Amino acid sequence: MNTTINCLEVRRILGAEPQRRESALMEHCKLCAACSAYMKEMLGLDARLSRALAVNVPEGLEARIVFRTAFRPKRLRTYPWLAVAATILLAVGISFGMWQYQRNSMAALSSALVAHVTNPAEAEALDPGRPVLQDASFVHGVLKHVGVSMQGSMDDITYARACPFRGELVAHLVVRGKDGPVTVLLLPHIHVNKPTHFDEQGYRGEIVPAGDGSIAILANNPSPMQPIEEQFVSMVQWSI
Amino acid sequence: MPVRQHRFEILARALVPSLYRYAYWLAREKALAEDLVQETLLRAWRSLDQLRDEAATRQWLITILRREFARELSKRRDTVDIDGLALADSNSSLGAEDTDIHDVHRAMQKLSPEYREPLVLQVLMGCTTEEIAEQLELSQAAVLTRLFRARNQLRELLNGSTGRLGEEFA
Repeated sequence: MNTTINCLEVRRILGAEPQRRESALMEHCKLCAACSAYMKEMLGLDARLSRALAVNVPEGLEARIVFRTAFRPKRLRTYPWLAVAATILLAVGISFGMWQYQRNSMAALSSALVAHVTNPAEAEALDPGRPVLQDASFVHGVLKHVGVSMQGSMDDITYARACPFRGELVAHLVVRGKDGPVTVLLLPHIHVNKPTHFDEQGYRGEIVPAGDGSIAILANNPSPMQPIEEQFVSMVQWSI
Repeated sequence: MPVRQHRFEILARALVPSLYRYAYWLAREKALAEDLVQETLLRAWRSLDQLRDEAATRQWLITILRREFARELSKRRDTVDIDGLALADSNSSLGAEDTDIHDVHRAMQKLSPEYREPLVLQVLMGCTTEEIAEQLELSQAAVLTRLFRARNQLRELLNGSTGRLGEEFA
């Protein structure tokens, strides 16, 4: 047969792609009855195939899909870097918020401490002429009343009283300092994370953590507070 | 109606029937085919603004559907034999009491997936050999071989004979 492609090639092409219509292919099929029959058979097979593949589409499928999208918001495009940035910002925000909260809490605490000490009802506690309490058992009784015990004794305590403070009882002590009275408040119900210094209304002071509670030391005179602070921190034990 | 929604409705109207049929021949289970089409179209909805060319859209949807099917298949593999579902829906999916359609339908079910899928993509979805090769990640020559063998096997199943030339190629 005088064509550019042979029967094997024709059938290889038509068996894979029956719709092919190159001129060489058509020319061959015009002259070759067997290949022409093969082409018709393949086209017939594809027609049967098309009908068989066209299974029934479930009724309402298209409408159901369209309906779902009508009530489904378009998904926002996600930006991974934005999520990371937002997370960092959130973490920074939370940390700053906590820092601010703690800062405000400590500021409020120091204000309350100063307010308690300067309360006229407590004025006698800071009287420089007060004598040192000789009865150690009285001091221990006061401490026990607020849930505090002390290992050892302080020799320079001039005042000891259980005072209500922020709804709880605290031990209000005054120690004779080098340059005047120094107030020590034992706060079994108030926990602080780290020592905090404050300076307010002429009082300077320190709030230090001590076990589950804290100790506040303040004075309106230059008496050194560090030795008193260290002594109380080493001696105090909370019993509540 | 918003333009976006209108565009999607046109897309769904044009492509849902062929996508469902393709999904059916891929999964051979009506319920699964329906789920695949729904999931595919919902993905199209999310990316509608990026879809421009109609042919590319069809190709993209086929890719999504095939991925969804692969995902579903891996989920089911441990619990369900997907091949066991082969003839479960076949009779109920026939459009009419046409014995010829029924015969071809059964013959198609008997083809192995590697031959059936390129044939479905070509005949049902109108994909070119190049597009099929892209979808199945095969060379065009491999796709042509599979298409040829698929038709040859169908002839054998339907007529009981492939003929001498067919055998030489297969």
